Amino acid sequence: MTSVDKMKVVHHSVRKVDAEALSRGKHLFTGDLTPADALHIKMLWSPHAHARIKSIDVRAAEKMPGVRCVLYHGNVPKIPHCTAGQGYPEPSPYDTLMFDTKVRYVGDRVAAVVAETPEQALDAVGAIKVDYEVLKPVFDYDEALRDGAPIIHDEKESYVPIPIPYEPQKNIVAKIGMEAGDFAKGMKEADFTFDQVFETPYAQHCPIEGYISWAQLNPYGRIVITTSTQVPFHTRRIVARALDVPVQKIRVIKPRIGGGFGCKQEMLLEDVVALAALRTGRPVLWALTRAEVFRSGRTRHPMRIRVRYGVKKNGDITAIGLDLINNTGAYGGHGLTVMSCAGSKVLPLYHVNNIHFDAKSIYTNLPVGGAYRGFGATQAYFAVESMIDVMADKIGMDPLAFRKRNHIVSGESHPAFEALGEGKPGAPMTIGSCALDGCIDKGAAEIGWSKRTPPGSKTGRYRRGIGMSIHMQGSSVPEIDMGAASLKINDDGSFNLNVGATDLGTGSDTVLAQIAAEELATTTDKFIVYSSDTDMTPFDKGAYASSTTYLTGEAVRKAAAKVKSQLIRVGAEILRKKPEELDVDDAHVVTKDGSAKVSYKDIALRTLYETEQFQIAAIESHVTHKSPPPFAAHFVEVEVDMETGKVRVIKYVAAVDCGTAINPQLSEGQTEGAVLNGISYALTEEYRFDGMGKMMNASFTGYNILTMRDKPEIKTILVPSYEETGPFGAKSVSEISINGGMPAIANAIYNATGARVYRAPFTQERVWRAIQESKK
Amino acid sequence: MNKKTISFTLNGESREFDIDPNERLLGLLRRNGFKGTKYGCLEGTCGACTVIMDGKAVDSCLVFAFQAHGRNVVTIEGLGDAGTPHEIQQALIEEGAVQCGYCTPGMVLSAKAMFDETPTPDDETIRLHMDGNLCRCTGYEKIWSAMKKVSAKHERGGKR
Amino acid sequence: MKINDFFLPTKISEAYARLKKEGNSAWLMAGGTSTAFVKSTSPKTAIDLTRLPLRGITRKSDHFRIGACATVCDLMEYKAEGWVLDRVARRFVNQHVRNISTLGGNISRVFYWSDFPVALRALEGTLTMRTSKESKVKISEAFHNMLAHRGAFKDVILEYIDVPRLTKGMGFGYSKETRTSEGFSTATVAVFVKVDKGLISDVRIAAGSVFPFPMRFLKMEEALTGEKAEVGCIRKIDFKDLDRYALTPREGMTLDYCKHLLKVKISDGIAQAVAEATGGSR
Repeated sequence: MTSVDKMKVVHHSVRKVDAEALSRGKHLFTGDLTPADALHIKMLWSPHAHARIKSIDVRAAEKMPGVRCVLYHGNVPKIPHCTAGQGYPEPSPYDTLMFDTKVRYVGDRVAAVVAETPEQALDAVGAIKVDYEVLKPVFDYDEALRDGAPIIHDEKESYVPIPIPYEPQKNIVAKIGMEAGDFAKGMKEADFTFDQVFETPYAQHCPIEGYISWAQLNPYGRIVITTSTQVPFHTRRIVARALDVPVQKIRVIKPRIGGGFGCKQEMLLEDVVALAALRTGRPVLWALTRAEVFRSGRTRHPMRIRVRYGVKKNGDITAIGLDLINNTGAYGGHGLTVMSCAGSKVLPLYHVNNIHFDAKSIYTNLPVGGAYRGFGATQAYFAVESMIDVMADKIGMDPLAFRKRNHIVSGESHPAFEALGEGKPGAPMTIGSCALDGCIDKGAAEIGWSKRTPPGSKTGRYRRGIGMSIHMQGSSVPEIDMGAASLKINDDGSFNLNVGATDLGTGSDTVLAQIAAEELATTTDKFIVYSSDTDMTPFDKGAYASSTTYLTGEAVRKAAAKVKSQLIRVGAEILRKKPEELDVDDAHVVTKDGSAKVSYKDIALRTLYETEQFQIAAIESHVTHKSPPPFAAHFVEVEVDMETGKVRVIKYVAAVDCGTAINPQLSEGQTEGAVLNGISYALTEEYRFDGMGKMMNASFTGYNILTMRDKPEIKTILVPSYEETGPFGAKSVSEISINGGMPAIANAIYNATGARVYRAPFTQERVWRAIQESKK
Repeated sequence: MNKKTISFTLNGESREFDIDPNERLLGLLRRNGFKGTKYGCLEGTCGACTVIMDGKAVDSCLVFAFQAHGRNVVTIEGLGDAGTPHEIQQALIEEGAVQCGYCTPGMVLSAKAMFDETPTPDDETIRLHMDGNLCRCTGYEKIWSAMKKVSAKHERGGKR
Repeated sequence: MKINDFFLPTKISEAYARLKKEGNSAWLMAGGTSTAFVKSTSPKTAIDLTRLPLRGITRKSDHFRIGACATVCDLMEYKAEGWVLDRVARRFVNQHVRNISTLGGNISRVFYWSDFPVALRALEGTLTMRTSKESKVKISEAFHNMLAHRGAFKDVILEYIDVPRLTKGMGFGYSKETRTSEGFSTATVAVFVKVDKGLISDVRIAAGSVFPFPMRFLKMEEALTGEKAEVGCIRKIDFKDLDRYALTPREGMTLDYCKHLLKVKISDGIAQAVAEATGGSR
């Protein structure tokens, strides 16, 4: 294991490069940068869950004061595309038109009004006359799959760009599965078998900055889109397709982003602002209201998961069967990949030889599922980690010991890595770094696991319980996604580090600068980091799949290494030494014996102005062959009111192995944010629909995300390991810790009350009912 | 539209504004260049648009612009300079409490209103004063420690 | 709600004159937070009451006199023996809203998640209104039902709210259920009891959030009156009485559970109030 102790920048909590400007409220976000003369868009959203537009009359709206244009299916390009920002070609149906003659959920696009003010646009929206033929909607897993169910995508235009199972006539978006060993045989060998169904709700990411984009034409007629996105390059490609304009004509700029968590891994507004700018020749802004973010933005897919397990009395797990249905709502962008990850990031965690995995993504007339931190694994972990406790309870084993006995360790592989990919086989992988046992031990000590008592021993109205869960995730999408970085030196020995990687508040600009600084033996403040701009920065797939540190970080390290070799080559000439005799230290090229040195600044001045001039610079790319999992053990203590079912989280401990934490403070921050989001996903958040498929609680007050007053004590413990394939030993950290909330809290509720919840969120009523049930 | 003129003290300066009676303080501030006040929910829940009015943190999306007439309003632009941020900003930066930063100006102002009133707040006071600012990035843990840090600094300095 | 003009009076007489002049287009406003929830198509003239001298809280011999424009924050921070509204204020939305929302605004515009209306129905007290002359209305009358409430607040400016100062032998219980600290309430209960020689001599129980308008439970109050002031008194209540009320379960709750929750909250409120009245700590 390589030591991180000697590192001077990496593994230090360097101050986040943008923190001061952000804390002072500087004009850094999309909405802060909009020209004052921008036009405004308001959308007419579908009031129906499923309907055909028989006719639409926009003439009155077009004549309203301030209106500059109205876009609807009759006057825009009709090119099927996929709005999900993924590698190309996408493993997803091209099932979306900019504007369609059919609407498929409450909140689907009908027509956009572009006007001088938002109020004028809204008034004109009210003047659009639409005649709908209302169709029977599909809201339910079973209804969607029923023979003769209404077909949500009955249009001829939709297709999949690569050969994956797509059966829209059955409302099936995608299917994926795997078998290993003999599941039936495994179940027969078991001493105890289990068969249980779990359900998870619709949820939203709730970045405090909602969706917002604006576009304008530059003097050469190119479309410049400034947008709050996690995927500027994918957005450019998808907008080009949807508008039928060349990629060359579009520039996408990502300024600071006010949070994303996956919901901005999507081309959601950009096609409309771009087309509106083309049509009007004016800058055009579109910002969604909070209600629109909830109803028409992207969500976490609800899942119904059937888990079957077989276990022997000695603690061997003989079989696992996961059958899941993934509700992807009205459009199928992330339908395949989310459920693939529900298998590939979850099944390998435990030794089981006999595996059955079968997953279907279905269309319904409900809001659209998208990428959301945890990406399918979160839903599946609720089911799997709950059942681990159920099994341990059955065989009378401590759930911690049961987990330790069965979890994957370094040097092991798993068939799911190869079987479950994203539209093609996944990458086979052997686990390198794994400090899961350390996570379990340290987390257990922090929560006081040894003092845990069984449910039967508790009395009184308010009962406390401790629960745990363990997790893995991935780091990047191997063999598919690419990240690149360019690095050049300036006169004073500072560097421009340009990356397409998309810092959406995570601190990746800082982390990437640290990696470059470590490689170049200088300090983070010497780097001017710029991300991201499709004209200025090299390609990067964007911020998703827990990949920026691991994937782009390695591209940055490679670019820095190349620049280092150029610096050493020039330094060798100046110092009249051989390159092999030289190294870098403290922003200088130095002789290894320390006898002579020359500064980066002097090297820069010489190469830029004096002799044998050239630009010291490098551009490097990286594609990974592995997706090394970070690991985590989560522990939570709760208090349950037996009378009302109210659950209060007392303390939450997340022990995480993310390899080398490039910036420990930022890694803790990622963990704590994910943990609290996981807690409210488990306890308070859900979409509630009326009978017509309209979300009823589409506001922050109605949706209930936690405040600082609700926050329990959250303790993060970073447990180091060293991932040989990652930059300076790093793996990912951002997603994994959202996975623990549901299972760890469900297990803690059981430990407190003896009652188990199978459906999230664990509202007071659900917990109370489970308690009543357990008393029977 | 029935335009009217109001005046109030903004970040220590006496200012006059022409307003639409129906517009909110948030809109007035942003269209006059005070864009550190962020738009979040327009329903008084998230606190991204927090300003301090007569010493109290309020949501500028809930306050009509005319309500500010004659008041003393402080926005994030009124705090800290480049290189020398306000002590609350400094603590948030040092503790790693600034992730996406969209909620941060509002957090800073809520905290300022609290510390101006109570230089060394206890835990419950912090919870109460900061419960109107949503953050989805941090889990509030590092914001919490920044608040404790400022409080501890006041305690040590015997400040105020 | 569209505001097309505003008026910033500094005297109550000015405010009242403007109210009369504007008639239906007048919109009395203090903190203004309720405008986000009021749907009205006709434009209004806002009459901002916050510049009137109506903000202080004063302690009288047996009650507190609260200016209608006292903010929820004022109520939260006020400290005096026998003052209980701080407990209601602490659970009110969030600090930013507490900082501008006023007591007068909260009780004159009742929303289903009502906070102070529930508390005041239990505490009882008097409202001082300015019409052409000053008039006083008992809270029990003003809140008798939704219609009475609308009538009581029509074309008047609420000046003061007098609430009892709790003295020895009195207790107040308040219990508000929410998913998050600033979320809407799913059940809110307030209970006032007065104990005389170990027996409950006076009791008022009110609930909100599960009704469109805060309700009193007179039958339950009757059942408790004269009973021994101890937690066991709750057994005297026949909770079947709740079946007579049309409950409006919130946030996806079933009616069954809503009823159960209300029962628990009422019991908690009574227990808290009785404990306080019989010398338990506040």
